[in-house]
Amino acid sequence: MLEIDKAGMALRSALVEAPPRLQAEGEFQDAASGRWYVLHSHPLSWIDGRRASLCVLTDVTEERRARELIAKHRDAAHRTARLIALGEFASAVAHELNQPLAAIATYNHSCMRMLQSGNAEPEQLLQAMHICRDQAKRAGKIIQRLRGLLPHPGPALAEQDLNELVEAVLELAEPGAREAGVSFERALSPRPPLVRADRLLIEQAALNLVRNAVEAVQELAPERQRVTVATRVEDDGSGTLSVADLGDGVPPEARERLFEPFVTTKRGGLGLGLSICRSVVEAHGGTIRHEENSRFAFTLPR
Amino acid sequence: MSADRVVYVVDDDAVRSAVRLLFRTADLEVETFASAAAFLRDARLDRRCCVLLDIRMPGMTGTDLHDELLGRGVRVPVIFITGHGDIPMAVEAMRKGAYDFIEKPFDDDQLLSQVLGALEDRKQDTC
Repeated sequence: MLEIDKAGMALRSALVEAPPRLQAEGEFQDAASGRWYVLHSHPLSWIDGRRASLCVLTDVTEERRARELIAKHRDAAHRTARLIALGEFASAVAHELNQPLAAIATYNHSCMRMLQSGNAEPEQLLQAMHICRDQAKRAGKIIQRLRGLLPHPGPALAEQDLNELVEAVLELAEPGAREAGVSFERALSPRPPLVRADRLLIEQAALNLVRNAVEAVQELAPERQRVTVATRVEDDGSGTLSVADLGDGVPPEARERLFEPFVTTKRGGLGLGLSICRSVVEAHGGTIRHEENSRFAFTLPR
Repeated sequence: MSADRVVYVVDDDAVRSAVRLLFRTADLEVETFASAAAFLRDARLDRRCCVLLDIRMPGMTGTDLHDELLGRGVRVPVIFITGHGDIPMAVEAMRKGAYDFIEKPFDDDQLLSQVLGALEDRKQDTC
């Protein structure tokens, strides 16, 4: 069982490790030129004694671009590491489960052969069946153990502002989106939607929804390449985050099983994104849903 | 003249005893080992046997053991039993002269026919 444990730990750390940050403090974008600046200001006294301040604007557009590139590569490496960890984990699990299954199948087959040949000893058959039962139990125990291994024993809950979380998530998604020609719109609640959540896990869930939306529109006409992220405070005080795009939405035949693992409509997709989102949201006592054709939302309790 | 014999090396107790029973129902003599080391120490190999090796085993793996046999100049038909993700290793072993491989969970009839085929080929072999 050691192999599963090892692969499980590697997978857990790969899933929980924080993705890189992008935004540096004090940077802002000039709307007209699209260039980025940092403002440094310094108080000084004018020769006639009046107080003045010296403002220096530094153009950091190139530096920012380089930073974005690094962040994007790091993010890609991070995702690759997770896929590798997942693959190794799956392989270890398959190996462990294959042993008892192979034993059960072979014992059964042997019993059948003995019965067919007409010289089956009841004693021998009984023994084989006993072993089959024990091996089935062994397979069950492996599955039980997997549940203990996988993240997350319980989210580390703290109060989070969903508006802030949206900013953090969009910052992570921005470089990739910009490259794909997709822009983000925010429709944030004026009153901060406060929820109790594990920041890293919820960020990951929201990021998955945003990435799905970006992928859905990246090959469409420019006027449809928009993703809207909205937040609101519900009547009972819980907070909702929703992600909508102008894409074609989910094909009807895929709607029912959308949140199940290994179900995907994307070429090369693993089919784990939405299923992980659902696990994360439900572990927080929240709900996640596919609201309209291309809008997904989750609500978390306060 | 000794009888046809299957020699199986696998670390898992349940799989080992299951396969032993299977070959007995096919009237084949079976000898099993729990590790590559035990096999190298105690196995008696002759021209009437076929060797089954599980690829994934703690310590010396099935492919390591195959390499060791090749190094010692031992010529027996070797069939590998592979699990998920081990196919590239099995292919490599085939290239080095393994007789065949079968994927887990395997079909018992297929395993039996592969083993019988290997034993038959072995008899035709003149050396």
